[in-house]
Amino acid sequence: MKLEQELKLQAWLDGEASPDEAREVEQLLANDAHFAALAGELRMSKGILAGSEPEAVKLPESREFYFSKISREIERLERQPAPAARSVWASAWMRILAPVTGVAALTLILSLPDRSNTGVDETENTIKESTVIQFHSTTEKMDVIWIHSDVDPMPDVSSPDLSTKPDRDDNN
Amino acid sequence: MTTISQARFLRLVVLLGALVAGGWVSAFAAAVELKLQAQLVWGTNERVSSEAGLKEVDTALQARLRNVFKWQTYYEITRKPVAVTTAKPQTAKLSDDCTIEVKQLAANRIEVKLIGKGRPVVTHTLELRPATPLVIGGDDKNNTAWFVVITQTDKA
Repeated sequence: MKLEQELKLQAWLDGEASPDEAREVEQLLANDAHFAALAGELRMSKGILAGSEPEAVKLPESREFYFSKISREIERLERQPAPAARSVWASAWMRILAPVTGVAALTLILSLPDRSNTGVDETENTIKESTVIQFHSTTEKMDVIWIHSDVDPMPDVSSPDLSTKPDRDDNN
Repeated sequence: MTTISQARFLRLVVLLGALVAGGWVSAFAAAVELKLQAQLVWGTNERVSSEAGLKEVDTALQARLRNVFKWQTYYEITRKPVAVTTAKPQTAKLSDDCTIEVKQLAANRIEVKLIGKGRPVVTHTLELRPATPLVIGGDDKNNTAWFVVITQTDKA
Protein backbone atom coordinates (compact mmCIF):
# COMPACT_ATOMS: atom_id res chain seq x y z
CA MET A 1 0.00 0.00 0.00
CA LYS A 2 1.38 3.32 -0.99
CA LEU A 3 1.33 6.39 1.12
CA GLU A 4 -0.48 8.21 -1.66
CA GLN A 5 -3.30 5.65 -1.52
CA GLU A 6 -3.54 5.97 2.26
CA LEU A 7 -3.82 9.76 1.96
CA LYS A 8 -6.56 9.36 -0.64
CA LEU A 9 -8.36 6.97 1.70
CA GLN A 10 -8.15 9.54 4.50
CA ALA A 11 -9.47 12.23 2.16
CA TRP A 12 -12.30 9.96 1.06
CA LEU A 13 -13.29 9.27 4.66
CA ASP A 14 -13.30 13.01 5.35
CA GLY A 15 -15.40 13.64 2.27
CA GLU A 16 -12.68 15.66 0.66
CA ALA A 17 -11.75 13.30 -2.17
CA SER A 18 -12.47 14.20 -5.80
CA PRO A 19 -14.79 11.93 -7.79
CA ASP A 20 -11.79 10.27 -9.48
CA GLU A 21 -10.05 9.71 -6.21
CA ALA A 22 -13.29 8.39 -4.70
CA ARG A 23 -13.67 5.83 -7.51
CA GLU A 24 -10.06 4.73 -7.11
CA VAL A 25 -10.52 4.31 -3.32
CA GLU A 26 -13.75 2.37 -3.75
CA GLN A 27 -12.00 -0.01 -6.23
CA LEU A 28 -9.18 -0.53 -3.76
CA LEU A 29 -11.67 -1.22 -0.96
CA ALA A 30 -13.36 -3.84 -3.08
CA ASN A 31 -10.17 -5.58 -4.17
CA ASP A 32 -7.76 -5.11 -1.28
CA ALA A 33 -8.71 -6.60 2.06
CA HIS A 34 -5.81 -4.88 3.81
CA PHE A 35 -6.93 -1.53 2.41
CA ALA A 36 -10.47 -2.23 3.59
CA ALA A 37 -9.17 -3.05 7.11
CA LEU A 38 -7.25 0.20 7.21
CA ALA A 39 -10.38 2.05 6.14
CA GLY A 40 -12.27 0.42 9.03
CA GLU A 41 -9.65 1.46 11.57
CA LEU A 42 -9.64 5.01 10.24
CA ARG A 43 -13.44 5.18 10.44
CA MET A 44 -13.36 3.96 14.03
CA SER A 45 -10.67 6.51 14.97
CA LYS A 46 -12.61 9.27 13.30
CA GLY A 47 -15.71 8.31 15.26
CA ILE A 48 -13.88 8.23 18.60
CA LEU A 49 -12.20 11.56 18.00
CA ALA A 50 -15.32 13.22 16.73
CA GLY A 51 -17.25 11.93 19.79
CA SER A 52 -14.60 13.28 22.16
CA GLU A 53 -14.41 16.74 20.75
CA PRO A 54 -15.78 19.28 23.23
CA GLU A 55 -18.70 21.28 22.20
CA ALA A 56 -18.02 24.83 21.29
CA VAL A 57 -17.88 27.05 24.33
CA LYS A 58 -20.94 29.20 24.38
CA LEU A 59 -21.14 32.13 26.81
CA PRO A 60 -24.56 32.60 28.37
CA GLU A 61 -24.31 36.28 27.71
CA SER A 62 -22.18 38.53 25.59
CA ARG A 63 -18.96 40.06 26.82
CA GLU A 64 -20.42 43.57 26.60
CA PHE A 65 -23.51 42.62 28.59
CA TYR A 66 -21.39 40.89 31.24
CA PHE A 67 -19.18 43.93 31.82
CA SER A 68 -22.14 46.29 31.72
CA LYS A 69 -23.64 44.36 34.64
CA ILE A 70 -20.44 44.89 36.65
CA SER A 71 -20.46 48.58 35.83
CA ARG A 72 -24.11 48.95 36.89
CA GLU A 73 -23.40 47.21 40.23
CA ILE A 74 -20.49 49.57 40.92
CA GLU A 75 -22.68 52.59 40.20
CA ARG A 76 -25.45 51.22 42.44
CA LEU A 77 -23.07 50.79 45.35
CA GLU A 78 -21.68 54.29 44.88
CA ARG A 79 -25.21 55.71 45.01
CA GLN A 80 -26.01 53.97 48.32
CA PRO A 81 -26.27 56.42 51.26
CA ALA A 82 -23.62 56.36 54.00
CA PRO A 83 -24.49 54.30 57.12
CA ALA A 84 -26.89 56.18 59.36
CA ALA A 85 -25.34 58.01 62.25
CA ARG A 86 -25.64 56.41 65.69
CA SER A 87 -29.02 56.90 67.23
CA VAL A 88 -29.61 59.57 69.83
CA TRP A 89 -30.33 56.86 72.40
CA ALA A 90 -27.03 55.13 71.78
CA SER A 91 -25.13 58.41 71.93
CA ALA A 92 -26.72 59.31 75.24
CA TRP A 93 -25.90 55.91 76.70
CA MET A 94 -22.35 56.19 75.43
CA ARG A 95 -21.95 59.55 77.15
CA ILE A 96 -23.16 58.05 80.44
CA LEU A 97 -21.56 54.63 80.28
CA ALA A 98 -18.11 55.69 79.10
CA PRO A 99 -17.21 57.53 82.34
CA VAL A 100 -19.03 54.90 84.41
CA THR A 101 -16.92 52.23 82.76
CA GLY A 102 -13.76 54.19 83.50
CA VAL A 103 -14.73 54.61 87.15
CA ALA A 104 -15.66 50.93 87.37
CA ALA A 105 -12.28 49.90 85.96
CA LEU A 106 -10.48 52.21 88.40
CA THR A 107 -12.55 50.88 91.30
CA LEU A 108 -11.69 47.33 90.25
CA ILE A 109 -7.99 48.08 90.31
CA LEU A 110 -8.21 49.79 93.69
CA SER A 111 -10.47 47.15 95.23
CA LEU A 112 -8.25 44.21 94.33
CA PRO A 113 -6.48 42.91 97.42
CA ASP A 114 -2.84 43.83 97.83
CA ARG A 115 -0.78 40.96 96.46
CA SER A 116 2.58 42.58 97.13
CA ASN A 117 3.07 40.50 100.26
CA THR A 118 2.25 37.15 98.73
CA GLY A 119 4.97 34.73 97.92
CA VAL A 120 7.23 32.36 99.77
CA ASP A 121 7.58 32.31 103.52
CA GLU A 122 10.09 34.85 104.76
CA THR A 123 11.97 35.20 107.99
CA GLU A 124 13.70 38.29 109.30
CA ASN A 125 16.16 37.79 112.08
CA THR A 126 16.40 40.96 114.13
CA ILE A 127 19.07 39.77 116.58
CA LYS A 128 22.52 39.93 115.03
CA GLU A 129 24.06 37.54 117.53
CA SER A 130 21.65 34.75 116.69
CA THR A 131 21.17 32.39 113.80
CA VAL A 132 17.75 31.45 112.47
CA ILE A 133 17.16 28.06 110.91
CA GLN A 134 13.92 27.58 109.01
CA PHE A 135 12.57 24.25 107.82
CA HIS A 136 9.38 22.40 107.14
CA SER A 137 8.77 18.97 108.58
CA THR A 138 6.80 17.11 105.95
CA THR A 139 6.25 14.06 108.15
CA GLU A 140 4.91 16.05 111.08
CA LYS A 141 3.40 18.82 108.95
CA MET A 142 4.87 21.78 110.77
CA ASP A 143 6.84 24.88 109.84
CA VAL A 144 9.75 25.40 112.20
CA ILE A 145 11.78 28.49 112.95
CA TRP A 146 14.67 27.64 115.23
CA ILE A 147 16.63 30.46 116.83
CA HIS A 148 20.16 29.62 117.89
CA SER A 149 22.10 32.20 119.80
CA ASP A 150 25.84 32.55 119.36
CA VAL A 151 26.15 34.59 122.53
CA ASP A 152 24.96 33.81 125.96
CA PRO A 153 22.50 34.78 127.15
CA MET A 154 20.14 35.38 124.26
CA PRO A 155 16.92 37.20 124.97
CA ASP A 156 14.91 34.42 126.55
CA VAL A 157 11.31 34.34 125.56
CA SER A 158 9.97 31.72 127.92
CA SER A 159 12.13 31.08 130.93
CA PRO A 160 9.38 29.29 132.82
CA ASP A 161 9.62 29.94 136.45
CA LEU A 162 8.70 26.61 137.94
CA SER A 163 8.22 28.12 141.35
CA THR A 164 5.16 30.04 140.25
CA LYS A 165 1.92 28.89 138.73
CA PRO A 166 1.91 29.46 135.00
CA ASP A 167 -0.40 31.94 133.34
CA ARG A 168 -3.26 30.11 131.65
CA ASP A 169 -6.04 31.48 129.54
CA ASP A 170 -7.91 28.57 128.05
CA ASN A 171 -10.76 29.66 125.87
CA ASN A 172 -11.22 26.47 123.92
CA MET B 1 -14.83 53.91 70.06
CA THR B 2 -17.22 55.12 67.41
CA THR B 3 -17.23 51.75 65.71
CA ILE B 4 -18.19 49.82 68.87
CA SER B 5 -21.74 48.70 68.56
CA GLN B 6 -24.17 49.40 71.34
CA ALA B 7 -24.60 45.73 72.20
CA ARG B 8 -20.86 45.16 72.36
CA PHE B 9 -20.42 48.21 74.58
CA LEU B 10 -23.11 46.98 76.96
CA ARG B 11 -21.43 43.58 77.13
CA LEU B 12 -18.17 45.33 78.04
CA VAL B 13 -19.91 47.26 80.81
CA VAL B 14 -21.49 44.10 82.21
CA LEU B 15 -18.12 42.34 82.15
CA LEU B 16 -16.41 45.19 83.98
CA GLY B 17 -19.23 45.25 86.52
CA ALA B 18 -18.74 41.56 87.16
CA LEU B 19 -15.00 42.10 87.60
CA VAL B 20 -15.57 44.93 90.07
CA ALA B 21 -18.01 42.76 92.02
CA GLY B 22 -15.41 39.97 92.01
CA GLY B 23 -12.79 42.39 93.34
CA TRP B 24 -15.08 43.49 96.14
CA VAL B 25 -15.84 39.88 97.04
CA SER B 26 -12.14 39.10 97.02
CA ALA B 27 -11.37 42.12 99.21
CA PHE B 28 -14.15 41.10 101.58
CA ALA B 29 -12.75 37.58 101.73
CA ALA B 30 -9.36 38.98 102.70
CA ALA B 31 -11.01 40.80 105.60
CA VAL B 32 -12.38 37.57 107.09
CA GLU B 33 -11.14 37.09 110.62
CA LEU B 34 -8.48 34.47 111.15
CA LYS B 35 -8.74 32.57 114.40
CA LEU B 36 -5.43 31.36 115.71
CA GLN B 37 -4.11 29.84 118.87
CA ALA B 38 -0.72 30.66 120.34
CA GLN B 39 0.89 28.31 122.85
CA LEU B 40 4.07 28.87 124.77
CA VAL B 41 5.62 25.46 125.29
CA TRP B 42 8.62 24.38 127.29
CA GLY B 43 10.54 21.30 126.22
CA THR B 44 12.65 19.32 128.64
CA ASN B 45 13.99 15.84 129.26
CA GLU B 46 13.34 16.15 132.98
CA ARG B 47 10.10 15.11 134.60
CA VAL B 48 8.63 18.05 136.43
CA SER B 49 6.83 17.61 139.69
CA SER B 50 3.08 17.84 139.46
CA GLU B 51 3.30 20.45 142.18
CA ALA B 52 4.69 22.83 139.63
CA GLY B 53 1.23 22.92 138.08
CA LEU B 54 2.50 22.41 134.56
CA LYS B 55 0.32 20.61 132.06
CA GLU B 56 1.71 18.62 129.22
CA VAL B 57 0.59 19.63 125.75
CA ASP B 58 -1.97 17.37 124.12
CA THR B 59 -0.78 13.96 123.06
CA ALA B 60 -0.90 14.63 119.32
CA LEU B 61 1.19 17.79 119.49
CA GLN B 62 3.56 16.17 121.98
CA ALA B 63 4.14 13.28 119.57
CA ARG B 64 4.75 15.60 116.66
CA LEU B 65 7.20 17.72 118.65
CA ARG B 66 9.01 14.63 119.90
CA ASN B 67 9.45 13.41 116.33
CA VAL B 68 11.08 16.67 115.29
CA PHE B 69 12.99 17.80 118.39
CA LYS B 70 15.19 16.02 120.89
CA TRP B 71 13.18 16.76 124.04
CA GLN B 72 10.88 14.14 125.49
CA THR B 73 8.32 16.16 127.40
CA TYR B 74 6.59 19.36 126.37
CA TYR B 75 4.71 21.47 128.88
CA GLU B 76 2.18 24.10 127.97
CA ILE B 77 3.03 27.31 129.79
CA THR B 78 0.37 29.50 128.19
CA ARG B 79 -2.34 29.23 125.58
CA LYS B 80 -3.91 32.34 124.09
CA PRO B 81 -6.49 32.75 121.35
CA VAL B 82 -5.53 35.26 118.67
CA ALA B 83 -8.09 36.62 116.23
CA VAL B 84 -6.76 38.85 113.47
CA THR B 85 -8.05 40.63 110.40
CA THR B 86 -6.22 42.67 107.84
CA ALA B 87 -7.42 45.78 109.63
CA LYS B 88 -6.79 44.56 113.16
CA PRO B 89 -3.38 43.13 114.15
CA GLN B 90 -3.22 41.36 117.50
CA THR B 91 -0.69 41.21 120.27
CA ALA B 92 -0.65 38.30 122.68
CA LYS B 93 1.44 38.22 125.83
CA LEU B 94 2.43 34.62 126.42
CA SER B 95 4.68 35.24 129.43
CA ASP B 96 6.45 38.05 131.18
CA ASP B 97 9.25 37.80 128.63
CA CYS B 98 7.40 36.59 125.57
CA THR B 99 4.96 38.45 123.37
CA ILE B 100 3.85 37.86 119.80
CA GLU B 101 2.39 40.32 117.33
CA VAL B 102 0.29 38.81 114.54
CA LYS B 103 -0.79 40.66 111.39
CA GLN B 104 -3.00 39.28 108.65
CA LEU B 105 -1.49 40.30 105.31
CA ALA B 106 -3.88 38.43 103.01
CA ALA B 107 -6.64 35.86 103.29
CA ASN B 108 -4.33 33.14 104.60
CA ARG B 109 -1.07 35.00 104.96
CA ILE B 110 0.15 36.29 108.29
CA GLU B 111 3.16 37.98 109.80
CA VAL B 112 4.29 36.85 113.23
CA LYS B 113 6.71 38.95 115.23
CA LEU B 114 8.23 37.34 118.30
CA ILE B 115 9.34 39.71 121.05
CA GLY B 116 11.53 38.48 123.88
CA LYS B 117 12.20 40.69 126.86
CA GLY B 118 10.95 43.67 124.90
CA ARG B 119 13.29 43.07 121.98
CA PRO B 120 12.08 41.83 118.57
CA VAL B 121 13.69 38.43 118.06
CA VAL B 122 12.35 37.27 114.73
CA THR B 123 9.66 38.25 112.23
CA HIS B 124 8.22 35.53 110.03
CA THR B 125 5.65 35.80 107.26
CA LEU B 126 3.96 32.65 106.08
CA GLU B 127 1.03 31.20 104.19
CA LEU B 128 -1.17 29.37 106.64
CA ARG B 129 -1.78 25.77 105.65
CA PRO B 130 -4.45 23.52 107.16
CA ALA B 131 -3.30 21.54 110.19
CA THR B 132 0.22 22.88 109.80
CA PRO B 133 1.33 24.80 112.89
CA LEU B 134 4.13 27.32 112.94
CA VAL B 135 6.65 26.40 115.61
CA ILE B 136 9.17 29.02 116.67
CA GLY B 137 11.71 27.68 119.12
CA GLY B 138 15.03 28.24 120.72
CA ASP B 139 17.44 26.95 123.37
CA ASP B 140 16.67 27.70 126.96
CA LYS B 141 18.75 27.30 130.08
CA ASN B 142 19.64 23.87 131.52
CA ASN B 143 19.44 22.11 128.17
CA THR B 144 15.78 22.87 127.76
CA ALA B 145 13.95 24.70 125.00
CA TRP B 146 11.05 27.07 124.54
CA PHE B 147 8.54 26.92 121.74
CA VAL B 148 5.81 29.20 120.48
CA VAL B 149 3.28 27.11 118.59
CA ILE B 150 0.80 29.01 116.42
CA THR B 151 -2.08 27.00 115.03
CA GLN B 152 -5.04 28.05 112.92
CA THR B 153 -8.15 27.02 114.80
CA ASP B 154 -10.95 28.26 112.57
CA LYS B 155 -12.12 30.92 110.17
CA ALA B 156 -14.94 33.12 111.42
